[in-house]
Amino acid sequence: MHFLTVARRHPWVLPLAAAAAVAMITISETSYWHSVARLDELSAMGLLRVPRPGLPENTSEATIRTDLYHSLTLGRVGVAALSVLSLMALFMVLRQHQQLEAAQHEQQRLVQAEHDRLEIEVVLRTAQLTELTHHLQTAREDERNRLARDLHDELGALLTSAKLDAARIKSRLAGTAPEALERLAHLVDTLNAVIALKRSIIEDLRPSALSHLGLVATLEILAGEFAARSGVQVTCQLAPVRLPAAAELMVYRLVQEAVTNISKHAKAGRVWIGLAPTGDQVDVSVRDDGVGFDTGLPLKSAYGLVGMRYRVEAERGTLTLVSAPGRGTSIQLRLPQAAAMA
Amino acid sequence: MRRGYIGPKHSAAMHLTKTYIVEDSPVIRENLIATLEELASVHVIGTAEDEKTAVQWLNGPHRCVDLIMVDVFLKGGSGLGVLRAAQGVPGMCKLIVLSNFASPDMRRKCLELGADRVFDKSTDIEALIQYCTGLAGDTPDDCRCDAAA
Repeated sequence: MHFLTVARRHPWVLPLAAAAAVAMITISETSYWHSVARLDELSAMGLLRVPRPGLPENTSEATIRTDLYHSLTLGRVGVAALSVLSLMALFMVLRQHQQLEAAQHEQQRLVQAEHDRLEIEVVLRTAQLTELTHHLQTAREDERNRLARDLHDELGALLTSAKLDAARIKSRLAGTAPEALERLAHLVDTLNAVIALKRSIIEDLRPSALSHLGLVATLEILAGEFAARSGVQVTCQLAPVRLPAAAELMVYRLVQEAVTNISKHAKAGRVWIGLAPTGDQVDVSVRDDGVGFDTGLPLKSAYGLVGMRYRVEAERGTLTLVSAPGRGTSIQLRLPQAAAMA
Repeated sequence: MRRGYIGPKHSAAMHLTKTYIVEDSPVIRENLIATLEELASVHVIGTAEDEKTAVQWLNGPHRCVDLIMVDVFLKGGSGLGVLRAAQGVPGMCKLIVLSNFASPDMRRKCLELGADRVFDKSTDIEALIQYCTGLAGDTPDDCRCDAAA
């Protein structure tokens, strides 16, 4: 099995080596038989019978002949044995090389299998993370909604009730206790301040404008408030788009997060906010001319951005972030537009 | 029926505005009835806390009322549904909305549905009392159900 595998693996090397060995043996055989024939001739001509002092005549010729034959046979056998041994050694080397190669292949296969497994794992984990983020965001929005509702219903009712009481007390005090009326007016002012605070908290928790006025108006309000608060010049180009309620809320939160980041880090002078339908897609963009940052470097607190990305993915959208030091930041979001209302 | 405190400034001859209130919060309802009866010559003849009860009452035989006060967000249904139902009832008098969310959009919608005025529950309380006091003073005769009855 080994021989065949190795031979198949090296179709040229082994036959060549075998041919070389056969040639070597052939040459050695030819030379041997040629030498033996010459020796026989010399022996027949009596040329080997050289008289030597101290040696008997007959013995010396036979011994010389035997010695020459021996050394010729040794050379012949040596060449054949070496040729065969070389061939075997070559085979062994090739076999070892092949085994090494097979081992390397096996290792590569294992590495590839592990790589594939990890790849699948990453895809799976990413999907899980997206789902988890979506779930957490939904839970967060639900919680915010519940809080806003409680504030609106329960606290609202108590405040209204307090104002009604204040109106009744005012009517009873009228003309009888001017100082008490003054305190009452102050109390009503305080109540009004509480009502205003309650409203701003509710609006922050749940952008009620979104469901009542739509995305464009809500973003305009957000941009206006941001401009007034930060002194940054904000340019809005907002066109109506069709989006499901969850996606509208996501867009609103994304723009909210983006302008919060701008006011915290960007040191921008101008901000552009865009919303436009492009075919069956919706493009949202928030751009500033601030200090920007190197997108290749890990951010110190990138959770907002990572969260944003997962929220966008959960609504089947894509988020692109372009920024460089000194060149501002641009956030672009692309979302599938909802089907037209029948 | 709740008996309200009638302030000394209301003369006996003054007409009491017969009022029906649709409001789901018991805290507001109780206090609102007490306040309006005390300060604005209002006589509350009935209340409802959801759309269904209110619409049933409106379509019932005893619609003897000068003023209907409707909250927009109710336990069941919506104040907008009550406004719609009230439009279809003949002999209606004043129809006002009392809302905790009186956005411009909401005001417009309510006025479109036949509301005479829209008051915000937290900021327009004084205006509401004034409005009701005014009604008690000059309710036109043809709107008085005791005159119609």
